[in-house]
Amino acid sequence: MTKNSTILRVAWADPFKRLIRKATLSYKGLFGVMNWQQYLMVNLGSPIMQMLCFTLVANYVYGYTDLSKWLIGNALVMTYFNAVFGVGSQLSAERNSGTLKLLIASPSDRIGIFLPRAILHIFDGLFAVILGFVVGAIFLGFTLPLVTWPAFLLALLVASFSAMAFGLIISCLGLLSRDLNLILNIASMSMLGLTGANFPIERMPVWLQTISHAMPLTRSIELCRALQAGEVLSAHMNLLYGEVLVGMALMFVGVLLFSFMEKIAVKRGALEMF
Amino acid sequence: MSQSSTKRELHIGKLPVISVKDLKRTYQTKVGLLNQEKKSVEALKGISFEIYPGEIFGLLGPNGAGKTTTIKILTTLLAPTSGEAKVFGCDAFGEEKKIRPRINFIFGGERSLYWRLSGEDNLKYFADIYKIPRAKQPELLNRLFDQVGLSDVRKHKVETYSKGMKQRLQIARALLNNPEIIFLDEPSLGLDPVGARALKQMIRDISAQGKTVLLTTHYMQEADELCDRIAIISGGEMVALDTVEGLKSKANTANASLEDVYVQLVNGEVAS
Repeated sequence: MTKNSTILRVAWADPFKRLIRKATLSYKGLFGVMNWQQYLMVNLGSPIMQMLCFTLVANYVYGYTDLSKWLIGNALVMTYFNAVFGVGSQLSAERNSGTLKLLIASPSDRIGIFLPRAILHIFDGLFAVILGFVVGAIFLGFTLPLVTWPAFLLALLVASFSAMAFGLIISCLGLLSRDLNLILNIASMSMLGLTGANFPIERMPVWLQTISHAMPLTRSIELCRALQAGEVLSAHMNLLYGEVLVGMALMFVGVLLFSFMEKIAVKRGALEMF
Repeated sequence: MSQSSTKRELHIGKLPVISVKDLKRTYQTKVGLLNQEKKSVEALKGISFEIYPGEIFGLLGPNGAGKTTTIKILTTLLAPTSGEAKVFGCDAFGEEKKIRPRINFIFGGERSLYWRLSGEDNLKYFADIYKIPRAKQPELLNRLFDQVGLSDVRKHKVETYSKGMKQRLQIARALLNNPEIIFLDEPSLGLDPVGARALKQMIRDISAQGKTVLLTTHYMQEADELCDRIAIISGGEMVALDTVEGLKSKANTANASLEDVYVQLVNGEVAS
């Protein structure tokens, strides 16, 4: 291999390596925990307890003996923790650390700043959901046929991607608002209430069903319930594609919103306002 | 407003890298919860100045004078309400993509860094943000850490750094993209004398590389030692613009220091 081709190969790999490093360092810099104990307590302990609580409440209310339906819904909704409080609050966190202005005034394109931040959260969210199922298996007797695992994992990955795309939209509001807590709480509650995790969508008012179908996770929860019931993925590809489309649409809107909000923030002088 | 001829002559034939004409910025705020009342604060009331390549240009003034607002506009972080703010001949609001790769800035204080990351990871992150080729990064980072004297602590978390070390790391970050203009907004804020002296030497070194520096500070001695020309603004208006010696000659007392003339100008005791 000649020196020139080596340089060319390295240069081609540069954007990918940059993407991975930006993803890792932004996660560590803003959301990363200091040790494993803290990670288990904060990132997993709280969401898992919430999952168990809602699963048991839903089962009590609807009187089913099989907890799986509610466990699946609430396990998937656990991605909200990364989506809302990780991805959703990142620009607000950048502002608090005084680094938002450095990113805005950098020559990096907005996609290059914006998207890498969601990558680690997708896998972190996926890990939380899987752990939720493990806890469900241990304490609530949740079972999943081995043959279903690959399709189930794919559905979870897509669900986490879609949830993080939702988080990107929320994060844009951090460019203008200094107090995101209200928005973050509404966003997390909407994921709990409108995705079908705890309440059957078909019993909702029609207008609320429309919102529900535009939400991330709605299709993934339905898909995962079908897979757990023994149905095959090929019979529900529309749900998988639908979730991917919702995620991509949310991401596209998020990037547009970022540019739009940035302009407004520069005009208003809101980038450094406290 | 007159300017001493000595420094002016150095700029003959050069185009300004920064040109500000009748620049105004008004902030709108709302007061009250139910019966919200809109209030306007005029941070800049029409200031004008030019900065030439290689200059260390001081922007002095009391708190709330409009120094940081001016820097925010010139660094593309804030839109002007009216007037002109050009950097390299490009509008700071509207043509920011042409300006951003060629400038960098530091705002005083300890923020503007990721405290949970090491000094090295901070620079790596911003090197990626500035799209510096990965192959060039190791050598560049080594040089910058050497330049700011942080090589031995580059792998330590920033939260363990002293204020002076954080400021030096910020300087290294600001030099990553080899900018032609560096904006320093109160870089010596809170530094001890040793740290402040080291910082001054770094600013001289940056200037010696041919870079243009726009510096704001409340330390008159620092401005006196470093700046080629100084603009004094107060209440959003330009009070004086001249070389250090030119400013001192305006004082109404003999052997006046820069601080003496600054106080007299800001208090309106002498004419600009």
